[in-house]
Amino acid sequence: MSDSNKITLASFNTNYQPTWCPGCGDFGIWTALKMALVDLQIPTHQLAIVYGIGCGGNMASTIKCYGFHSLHGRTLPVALGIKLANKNLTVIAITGDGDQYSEGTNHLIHLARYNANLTLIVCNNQLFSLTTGQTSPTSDQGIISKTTPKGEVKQPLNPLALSLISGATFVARGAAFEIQQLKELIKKAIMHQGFAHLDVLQQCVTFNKINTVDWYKEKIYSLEQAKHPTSDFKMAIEKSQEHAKLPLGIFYQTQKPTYEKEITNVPIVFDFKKALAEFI
Amino acid sequence: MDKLTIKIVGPAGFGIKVTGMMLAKYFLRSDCFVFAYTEYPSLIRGGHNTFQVDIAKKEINSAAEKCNVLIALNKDSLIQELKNINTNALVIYDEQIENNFSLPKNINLLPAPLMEIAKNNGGDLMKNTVALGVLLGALDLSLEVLNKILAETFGHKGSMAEQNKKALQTGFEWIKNKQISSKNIIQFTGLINSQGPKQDNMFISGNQACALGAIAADCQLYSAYPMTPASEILHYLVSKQQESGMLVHQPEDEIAAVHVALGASFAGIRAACGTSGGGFALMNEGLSLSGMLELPLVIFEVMRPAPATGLPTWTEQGDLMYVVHGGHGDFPRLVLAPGNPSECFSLTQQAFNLADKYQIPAIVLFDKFLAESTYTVEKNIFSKIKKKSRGKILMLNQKQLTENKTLFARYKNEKDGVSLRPIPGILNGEYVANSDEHDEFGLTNESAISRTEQMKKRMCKMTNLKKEIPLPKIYGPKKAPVTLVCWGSTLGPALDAMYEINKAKTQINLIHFSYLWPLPLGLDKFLKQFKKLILVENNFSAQLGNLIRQETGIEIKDKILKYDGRPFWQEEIIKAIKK
Repeated sequence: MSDSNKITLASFNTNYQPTWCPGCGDFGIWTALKMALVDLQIPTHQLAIVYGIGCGGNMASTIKCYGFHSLHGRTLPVALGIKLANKNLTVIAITGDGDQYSEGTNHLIHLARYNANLTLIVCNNQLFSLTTGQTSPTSDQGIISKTTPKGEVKQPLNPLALSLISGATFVARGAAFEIQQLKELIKKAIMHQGFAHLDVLQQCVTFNKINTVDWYKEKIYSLEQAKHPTSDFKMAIEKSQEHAKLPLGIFYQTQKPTYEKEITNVPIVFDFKKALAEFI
Repeated sequence: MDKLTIKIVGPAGFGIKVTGMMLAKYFLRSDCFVFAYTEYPSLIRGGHNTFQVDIAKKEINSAAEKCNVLIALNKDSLIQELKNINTNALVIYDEQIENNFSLPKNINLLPAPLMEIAKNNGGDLMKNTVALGVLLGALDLSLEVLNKILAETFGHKGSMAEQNKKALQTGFEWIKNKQISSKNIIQFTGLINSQGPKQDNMFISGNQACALGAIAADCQLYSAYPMTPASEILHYLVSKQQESGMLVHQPEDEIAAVHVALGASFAGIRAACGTSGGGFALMNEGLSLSGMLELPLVIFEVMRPAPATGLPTWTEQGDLMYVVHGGHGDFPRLVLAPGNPSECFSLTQQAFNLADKYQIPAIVLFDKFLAESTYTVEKNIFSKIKKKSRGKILMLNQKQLTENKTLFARYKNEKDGVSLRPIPGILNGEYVANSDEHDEFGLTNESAISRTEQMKKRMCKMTNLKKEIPLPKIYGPKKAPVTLVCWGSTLGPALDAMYEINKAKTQINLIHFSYLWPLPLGLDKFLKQFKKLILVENNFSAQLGNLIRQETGIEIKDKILKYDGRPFWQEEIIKAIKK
């Protein structure tokens, strides 16, 4: 590869500046993603990123590639369509917790069980932020927000457990403020052959005054350092239930046939004459 | 008699459709024109199911209201159908059915040992085939052609073919031994040509024709969630995917169905999804997204009576206004409504071509009546495949793009509103397909100038598209005192009504819309040439009439409307016109 073809951070520039609040966790995710793409040397024209709607989805204009800024909750079916149409592309979906775990939950469950070779990165700040701070499915009970003045009464959704029981073959959690670790997790997710779900804890500096970086930092620990066996499904389920402490890293990884390979037929020339004979 | 209507009725699970299709093919191969219409409730076992085969010496496009021959496989169905038979009709039913029901006058009852013969020849499921044998014997027809069809139908099922053949033969011999012939009952001469067909015709449903159209158009991905009456498209495409290479995906819901198709379209292949009205409701946000991203998309919307779940297995033309206006915001779209399977085949290909040319969504709109009825069509029409034209798209093996500082100007404001679309994988073609309002690169842009420019760019496609929409087709004489106006599947019964009326001195004609949106240029002038227009629509509010009024200011006051879930019978159109 000549130097001019070398993928650098600058290769992904679009001249469009992110519109996030200063200190937003999305900056960390954005940076870690680009670093991972540089490390893997994925050419911008071989890369399709599908974005959802929300603060995370607003990354759409900031990365040079074949971008698809879809609708709220609909990133995964779009990503699947792209992958089915062209298996050579690296396809990544970027969504948020409001986006993926509320309106897009149905797609998450089913994409996990289809096991198409896609990477899902969820910017999880436990809140709807672009709509100015309402509780999301991952908000903790008791959280006071615009829509829950007396505190959230609903139980939070456990996205990693949901993915695990739905058949996802790669389930991991990173954090927006642990950029090096996040970069490595994104690389592993992209390289994984199958559906990779990476939940990313992130701060919302404007609307979430409880789940701050300091709050997270007190709770997180590394699964790798804890020598968690990533091939053990039962252990993965157990780890996904931890709440007082928040494990980061790969919870579970396994290999299964990918959907796009399973349903692809090698086309032979369609014989119209033969097909029409059935109607006589 | 130049027409014969045979109806097979009974509970679901009795093989009524298979029997009916064999009978229909028998007449098709005997040089007849055949039309098959089926009614069934939304259940799997039991209920009242009908399969009606209308047979004629010349073109036939609809089902008759009443039949001449009724084959009833159980008592409930027999009693229900007695009101739908013609004078002197022949009624074949099982002799074990107790004859304690009130009968209309002048019918010819033929109780036959259907169950008994079936039980001796493989089991009671053979009852329908025994009845076929009895029918052919009663009509003085030969078994030869039907035996061949039986072998084709059950050949792959081993002993089933032999059992059916024996059941058919025994039923046939039973009536021959009884020396009962219906010759005096039903004047049946001249309809059959034992030399085989002279015309090169085939027998196909609207759903099958649309599916073949998608294959002919080189559609490479079809995603659909099961929904009556659109499911047959899915079934047919799945059955052919080995040969066609089409990716057929059954997603988790219709929302996913449309978005998978959009993702595939973005990646450069022709993609479609299909559903009925309720599923189309879920697809609406995807339809709007297709408009914003300028991604070609074909949607089959096969109507059934609504609102809500409505009548799942029945027919109506109630979604016209919905598909024309559905989806939030202003964006260009194409709506086509084929009137018969031949148009299903050609207009489906046209939908793909125009969707590609203008980078817009195209909806192929039809209904259960056309989707699941089987028509006699010229085979020739299905051998002619339209030239595929993908419009301004840059595929992987085509010329290279020069390097861009940032992104490719995918949404460049071209005069015709259509800009070059590179597919992912092409070097220097990177852009954002952005559901937010965007600039020419697809970057989010909320400025008034950019918004106005992009809106004008998208909407000007409608002006150009309108120019290539043909005027409605005129059937019958060019000039007539009365002109029927219809769209989609009502073509069939309206056409048959016109032919019937025109046997007498008075001549009427018919205009048929298969391009519903945009309506063609010069429509007002076109409509003004006719003396008296009568709308024929299978819905409550005359939706085409409303659309014509909205677009031309012309109000068609005379309307023949039907919205009971059943298609029009030609007889009721004739009656309504005479009024």
